[in-house]
Amino acid sequence: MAELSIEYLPYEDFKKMKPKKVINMIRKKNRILIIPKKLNPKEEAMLIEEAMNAADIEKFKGIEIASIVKEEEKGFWKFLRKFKQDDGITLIGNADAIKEIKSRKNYAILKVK
Amino acid sequence: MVFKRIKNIIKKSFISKLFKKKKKIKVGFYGPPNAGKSTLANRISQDFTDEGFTVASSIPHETREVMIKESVIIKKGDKEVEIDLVDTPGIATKIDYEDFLKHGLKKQEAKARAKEATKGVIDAIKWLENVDAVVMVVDAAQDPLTQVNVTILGNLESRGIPFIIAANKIDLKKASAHKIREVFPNYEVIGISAKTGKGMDYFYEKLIELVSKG
Ligand SMILES: Nc1nc2c(ncn2[C@@H]2O[C@H](COP(=O)(O)OP(=O)(O)OP(=O)(O)O)[C@@H](O)[C@H]2O)c(=O)[nH]1
Ligand SMILES: [Mg+2]
Repeated sequence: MAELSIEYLPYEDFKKMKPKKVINMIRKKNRILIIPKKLNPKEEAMLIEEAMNAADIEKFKGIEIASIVKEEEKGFWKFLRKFKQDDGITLIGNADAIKEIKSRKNYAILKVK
Repeated sequence: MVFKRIKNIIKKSFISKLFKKKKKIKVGFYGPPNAGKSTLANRISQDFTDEGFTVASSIPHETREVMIKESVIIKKGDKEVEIDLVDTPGIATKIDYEDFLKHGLKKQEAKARAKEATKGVIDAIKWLENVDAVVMVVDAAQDPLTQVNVTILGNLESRGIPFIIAANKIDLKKASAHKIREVFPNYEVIGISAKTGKGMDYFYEKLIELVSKG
């Protein structure tokens, strides 16, 4: 069975880091970063951009990223709206180890390779 | 007082002239790979200029650089708008060249395509700075609850870029515009088939509305 290691990254530290450094942290396979905050859309876009920048086809394919937020009300739109809020957590994994992260109400499903 | 008023009138007409020049609005087609962005952008171009400008294909990441068709005049009833169509590469968080092998590409081709595709994603994200309005294209036969969709929509919202959602491929049996609407109840979701043309009349109405807003 494959092993996964989970690394905690405080949001304050994340904010101080260059996106490149964050991506470097998960270039090691089988690692998942947990940031105890829902990232905002710009931060998400920046990470995707940097992941694509770092992707080298053979060794690093990119990332899987998802947020878990508390969902009291029905509707994904509300869920999406949560980007304005601080609560929630973000999971970022190496796409080589994590096939998919599905974000659902209050939880996430990780499909591991 | 009078002088000030005259000055204001001059200023206003100057601004309105500037505005008129800016009236040609860049409409970006955004979404995940394979959603049908290029098929839709091409159909619009065909419908109003009789020629296409971008390439669609069943292999994901067909569009790997931003493609632009300038000055397309969209007419519907007594309304018309002039827009630039901006077809962007599909946005993804990862690119696996082995996926292309399944589509029959040779290893070298697949790797080259993957490399270009990573640049395409960066390009598409950067272009968010340049577009005035967006048609977000999603495949209505697929789960819309993906991180890529969330990130794109979140960026459109937080950047204040007006957008509509095209729930594409409604010609497919398992497609449901209704399901997309359920997931995004507060957005304008228009069911279309870029391939067959179904729903395009209503889409053009909404596109003109969108551009008039932008
Ligand atoms: N059934 C059906 N297929 C469609 C429709 N629109 C597009 N397609 C097909 O979906 C595939 C992808 O279409 P594209 O237009 O290349 O998709 P795209 O979003 O531009 O994809 P990328 O450039 O890779 O990001 C092609 O095989 C199209 O023929 C539609 O309305 N119905
Ligand atoms: Mg395309």
